[in-house]
Amino acid sequence: MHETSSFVIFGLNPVWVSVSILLVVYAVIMTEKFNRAVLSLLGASLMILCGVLNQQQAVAGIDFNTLGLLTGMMVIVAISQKTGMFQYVAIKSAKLVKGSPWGILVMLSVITAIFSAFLDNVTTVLLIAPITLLITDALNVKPYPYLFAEILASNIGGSATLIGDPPNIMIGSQAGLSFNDFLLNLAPIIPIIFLLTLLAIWFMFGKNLKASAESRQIIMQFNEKEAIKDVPLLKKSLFVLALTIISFTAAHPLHLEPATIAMFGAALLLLLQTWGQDLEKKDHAYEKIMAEVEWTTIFFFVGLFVIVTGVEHTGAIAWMAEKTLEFTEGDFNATVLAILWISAIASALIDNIPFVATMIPMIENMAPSFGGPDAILPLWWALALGACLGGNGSLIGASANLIVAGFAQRAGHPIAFLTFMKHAFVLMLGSIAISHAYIYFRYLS
Amino acid sequence: MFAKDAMRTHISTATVDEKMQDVIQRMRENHHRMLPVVDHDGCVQGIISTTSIIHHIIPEYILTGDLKDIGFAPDISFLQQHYVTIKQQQVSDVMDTQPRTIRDNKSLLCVASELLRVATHGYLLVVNEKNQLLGIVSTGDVLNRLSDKLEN
Repeated sequence: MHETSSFVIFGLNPVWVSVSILLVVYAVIMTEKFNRAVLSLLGASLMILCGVLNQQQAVAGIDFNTLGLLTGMMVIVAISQKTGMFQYVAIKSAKLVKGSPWGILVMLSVITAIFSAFLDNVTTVLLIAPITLLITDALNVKPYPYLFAEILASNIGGSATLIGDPPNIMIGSQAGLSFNDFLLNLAPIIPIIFLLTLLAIWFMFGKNLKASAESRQIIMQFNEKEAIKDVPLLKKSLFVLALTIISFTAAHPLHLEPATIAMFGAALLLLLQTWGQDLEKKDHAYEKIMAEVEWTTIFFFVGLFVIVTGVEHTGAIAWMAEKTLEFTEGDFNATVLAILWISAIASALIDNIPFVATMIPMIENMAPSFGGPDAILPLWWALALGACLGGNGSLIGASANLIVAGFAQRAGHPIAFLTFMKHAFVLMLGSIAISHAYIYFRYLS
Repeated sequence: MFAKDAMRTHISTATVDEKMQDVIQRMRENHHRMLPVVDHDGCVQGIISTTSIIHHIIPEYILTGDLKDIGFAPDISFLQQHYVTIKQQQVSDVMDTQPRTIRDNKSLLCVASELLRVATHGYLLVVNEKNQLLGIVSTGDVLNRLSDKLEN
């Protein structure tokens, strides 16, 4: 127990105060009646007001590397998405497979997976869902199999890289893992999971997908060149995106944090975007882009970091780590695999971001028992695969899922919660089983 | 000068439970771009306009998603299909349920500023305290009143 804890309000036990705040905030987030950023900031303020933390400790607990990486990537994406490159790629690929319904499903899934790996999942599905609905309307087929495949592809693709999914960003930042660490350890298994998932989708829906020759002809009439609105901006965006991703791979040897690179990329693209315009126009453009950054997500993270720091500060997380180790009897392999499966199930049912935020300090606390930070690397990979892939388990498992469901609803093809879960939960368990085998054979045997 | 002095009162309306097929035909015959929709007590429930009909023909994901600039797409059969579906529906299914209304006792100044502020199509429905339709006032009607005053 730490010294400052003795100032806790009414002399209450700081462990119970902090754990109660955490549990109440998480529980109310799950009811989905209030904005999660507001709740997490409220919880964070309570941590300070109740005396669990002072403000200085609270601010020190905020991981600005995660926030900087998220914000920087959001700015880059906000500018790049305006170029129409996404629609271009989607239409081009649909025409490449000559309007074949299954071919289009595969192409759109591959695009979703790749974009999700390097941009954020939410933006990717925000761009792919409307064009998918347009294509399925043109083909006169049901959009559900397509949207279903894209949800899965976005979470699977997002698992592959450091910047693909918020849990990975947090894990990478707080455990000090580099972009290349993720690429070398997670990316190899992702294509296998992706291909097997597509195979399963073929048996579930793909073999029944049919479209008439006339509707396929409509697909061929789409003109992808019309999608590109601003060629100079497209060149600038592609340049900065490529530069940023290459720099991520070179960051670690140069002792640079990913946030530095993302922020540099964002600033560079902001500068290039309005190059040659007068100041008034530039200011207007900057303000528009800044408004597109998802500040609620950023503040949600801020609050969450403070809440978790509060709980960690009282020693409750170390206690949880200790209990987990008692449960697995200190067996490393059992601990790794338990974290994989528990993370997957938990992430399917609750928001994976708060879950991962709580698990990170817990795993850090386990490090000494297993021989230090280098020895526990498999634990991080288990957490990352579990939390990211687990998001596929239900419609509420990841933000991207909810966005797609929202579009489907508005297009008059609502995705039922249980129908989705019936199809997706098994596939999610399958992907975790593959991850289980991968982790076991690569790290534990 | 009040809204009720500037409004036009000879207006055709549609009722909530009418078939869209009949309403569309009436609009086409009389070259109406817009009809106020009233219930059987004469209370305003919405408006039906060429715009609100088109709005129902275009799938919503095109309007809300990132496809606003849709120059790359050819005609897709859903336009015709949706139009056929809409013709079978009731007025209440298709109407815009947030019509721009103004009370009859509002000043001409108020009418003029509301016309610019909220009425994107350049007209307001004038209603009494029970929300019953009394007439329509447009930007043209406001100008006419101002001219009348000068000439008298």
